[in-house]
Amino acid sequence: MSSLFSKTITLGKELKVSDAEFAQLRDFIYQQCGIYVADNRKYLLENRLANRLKHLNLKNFAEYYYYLQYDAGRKEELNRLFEVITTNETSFYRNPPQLQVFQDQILSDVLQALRKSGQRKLRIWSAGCSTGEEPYTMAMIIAEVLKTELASWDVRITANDLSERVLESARRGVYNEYTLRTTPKEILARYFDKQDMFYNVRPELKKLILFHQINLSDMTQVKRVERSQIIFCRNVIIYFDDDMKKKVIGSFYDNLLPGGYLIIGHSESLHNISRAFKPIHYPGAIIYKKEE
Amino acid sequence: MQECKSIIERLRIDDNEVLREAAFEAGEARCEEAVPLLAGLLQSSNLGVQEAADRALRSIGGRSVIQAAIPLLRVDDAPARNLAMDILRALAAQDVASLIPLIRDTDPDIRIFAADILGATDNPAAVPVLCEALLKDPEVNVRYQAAVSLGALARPEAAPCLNKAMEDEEWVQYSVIEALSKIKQSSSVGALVKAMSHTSDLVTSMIIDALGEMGNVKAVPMLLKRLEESPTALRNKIVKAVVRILGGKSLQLLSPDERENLKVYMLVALEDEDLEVQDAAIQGLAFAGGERASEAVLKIASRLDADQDQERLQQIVRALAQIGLTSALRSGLLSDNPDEARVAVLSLAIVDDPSVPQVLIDAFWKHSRDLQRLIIETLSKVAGPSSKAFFLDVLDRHEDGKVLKSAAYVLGQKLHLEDAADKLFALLEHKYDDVKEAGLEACIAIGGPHVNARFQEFYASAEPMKRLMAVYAFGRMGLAEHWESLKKALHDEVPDIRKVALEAIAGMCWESDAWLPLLEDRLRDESRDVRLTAIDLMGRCYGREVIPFLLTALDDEDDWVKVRALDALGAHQEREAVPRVVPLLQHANRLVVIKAVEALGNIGGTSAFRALLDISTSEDEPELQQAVEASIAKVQEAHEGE
Ligand SMILES: C[S@@+](CC[C@H](N)C(=O)[O-])C[C@H]1O[C@@H](n2cnc3c(N)ncnc32)[C@H](O)[C@@H]1O
Repeated sequence: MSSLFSKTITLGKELKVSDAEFAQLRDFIYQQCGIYVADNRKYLLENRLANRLKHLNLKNFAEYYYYLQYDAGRKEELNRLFEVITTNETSFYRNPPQLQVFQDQILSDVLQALRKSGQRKLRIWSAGCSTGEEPYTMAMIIAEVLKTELASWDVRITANDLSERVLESARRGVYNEYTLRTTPKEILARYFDKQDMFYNVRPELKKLILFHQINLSDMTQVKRVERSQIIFCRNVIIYFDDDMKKKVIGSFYDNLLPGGYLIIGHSESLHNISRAFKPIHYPGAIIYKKEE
Repeated sequence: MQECKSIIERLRIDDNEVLREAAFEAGEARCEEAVPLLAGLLQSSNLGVQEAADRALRSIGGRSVIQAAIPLLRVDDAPARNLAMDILRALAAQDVASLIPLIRDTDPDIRIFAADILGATDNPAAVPVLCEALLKDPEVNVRYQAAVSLGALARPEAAPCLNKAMEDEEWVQYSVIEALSKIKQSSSVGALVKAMSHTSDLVTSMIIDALGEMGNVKAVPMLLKRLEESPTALRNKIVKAVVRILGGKSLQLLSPDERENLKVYMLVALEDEDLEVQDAAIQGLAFAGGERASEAVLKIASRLDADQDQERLQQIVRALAQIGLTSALRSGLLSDNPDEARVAVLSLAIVDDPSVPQVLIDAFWKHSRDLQRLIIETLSKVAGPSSKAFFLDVLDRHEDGKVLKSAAYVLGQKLHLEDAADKLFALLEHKYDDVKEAGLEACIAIGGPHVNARFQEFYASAEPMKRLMAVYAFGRMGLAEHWESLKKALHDEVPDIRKVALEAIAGMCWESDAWLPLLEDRLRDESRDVRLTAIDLMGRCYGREVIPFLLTALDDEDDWVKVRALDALGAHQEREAVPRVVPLLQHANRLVVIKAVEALGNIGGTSAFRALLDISTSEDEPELQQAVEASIAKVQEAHEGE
């Protein structure tokens, strides 16, 4: 019985964020992770954070702002704040047509080139991987394509996200039926162990993926990511403003090896963001290629 | 600059990665000397390099970039030419003089480009040149583009030449009409109307839209005149234009005949495919009113998606409410289509009519949970005492938390109904906290001896939750008879109860003799939340006697307790606190330091001022720096005022 429900019945509730406080928080959030909280989300922020303020026993949003900067618990709180402003929605085999193109065209093209050069080293980056469904899906597709050959390849998927909480659950690799709803049955059988109502990712798949925390708005962190042949960054840049999008997409370009591919969410586009890539139109997907 | 030199050297190396990075750096360092090389790189075959050069040129900007980009308009390499165009558009305002001569170039393509770029200058000097091109250039695409750009500049002095250009061929007319509707000059209304006598159907319909856009009343009589003779599609557009110009309200200014006539056409326009036409008709019908209007508008609403069409739905709801309580709305409320019923409820919520509550009550039990929630929420705003039987019945029969909360609110806060108290007390044991809370507030609002007795029972309970609610209620009821109970609650074993008890006695602070010792005790409470609350209350109920306690709190182990004490001392400008505050400027937690700085700024005086001046701040602590500056300014200001 930690707090009954006194957090809500304490006298003097109604926490409102003033315009100045909102602007302050917005700038702070932008600085921290490049996400621009638009005016129309002010109400949402107020609503969702009010409980945090009550919980922390803070009087107003200005104090919350200080808390985020100076309190001993700020790191943890920052993560909570991120969770309020982002959504982590994801699923296995999200957007199948795009993944089909990935499997049939992109991956086979990259593998072909690597075989030719005699370098069996494949690097894929899943930027903004949320709870792990996306990189595990990549891993399964790669395993399906390479089959027994997989053992003779050096494959690594770098998967990262801003939120420690989602990464934790990604590392655990335990999923429910709902997020696996579009996963083919035979795949389910091959790569998961069922335990009660849950599905555990098999260890041989897990070891292909390296999860770690990264903030895409921090260019020094991004520069340290190993260079890759393929980058997935789907449904992540929607949170960013144009400047930030340009920066992030620019750093993907720099990370990609010559001839590499960038795959973004199907409702996203690089229009007005970057011209460096060559868009390749496939039925159901546009893939962006860096020149050889 | 040394930096630029090395960048320029790298811009000559034949390696795409090096070039891309060097180009970015040139942009960041704004190396003007690099402009010619960067302009050359726009023609690189490597897209990554091209992009970097493009960004760099934009960030360097100015005359030299414009001069370097102009020749690229003449190259055959289309991507490079397009990049140059974009750059020139973006930078056009920085050097209009270099761009103007291009519009008299011998090459018609260059003249088209120039007309385009001049539209992005945001400079009145471009208007006469564009007007000249619009009226005299032999190439139709130049004239077309000149009109587009005049529209983009949107300056009134362009109206006369645009009016004249309405005599040009159809292709040019398109862009002229667009431009005129942006400029909105009254002189153009006549020109557009006049042109309608000889324009094609397409252009006529564009003109009608433009007249609506321009919002000039002068156009109305003439538009109405055309209503009869036009085919349906055009007529719908006229309806839209008229409503746009007059805005629903001024429709009343039309003669009764005109109004009746227009109303018929508005009903027809509701069927148009174009949503804007529909919306205009809805807006007009909201004022024209009537059963048929209500029915037809409600029908449209029931086909919309509550998430995707939110804005339109809101507009429709307002329109329906304005039309009033029609039979269409009554039967819509009972519809099996939940979307339709929902719109009806939302509209009824803002209809001004005394029979609305009963209409809603009659519909309540016929619907499923979601609609019931909406109906009762609406009722909680519009219903009065005559609806009490309904709400009591809901408390008895309903299971849904949201519905119960609405009923509790009405019976408690709104009607203060003593008969409802026992039913409401039952909610205090509900499984959801929010329902409990709603019940609690309702009971408190009712008050009286019976409610009081029930809370006394709670107070004596072994269940902490009940005790907590009782203590909270005692505080809110503010009765002297609860004083002793509250005092005892300050020592409850549960910290949350102690905290709520503290807040409850806050109201009695004018009796500082009795109050202060109680608070003092809580300053030593093991729970930081309780201590925090105690300090907070002392700040709110300030007097000389609390100062020593606040000073002691400056040494509390919890930083937020310190912060609250600093806030209180600062807010009350407590000079004697300064010697105790100053040492906190050295505190390890930056938050405490900033709050100490703010407190000193509020307190003021010489020693606070000295202490503030002595703080050394560094650039990488903008927060602290800002706080110090603000506080120093505050102290000075207060001093000058003295
Ligand atoms: C909607 S999920 C997308 C997950 C997955 N890529 C997909 O398409 O299914 C977006 C993720 O981006 C992450 N994200 C947002 N801003 C980020 C940043 N600045 N750096 C790293 N990750 C970020 C969020 O934490 C969230 O998990």
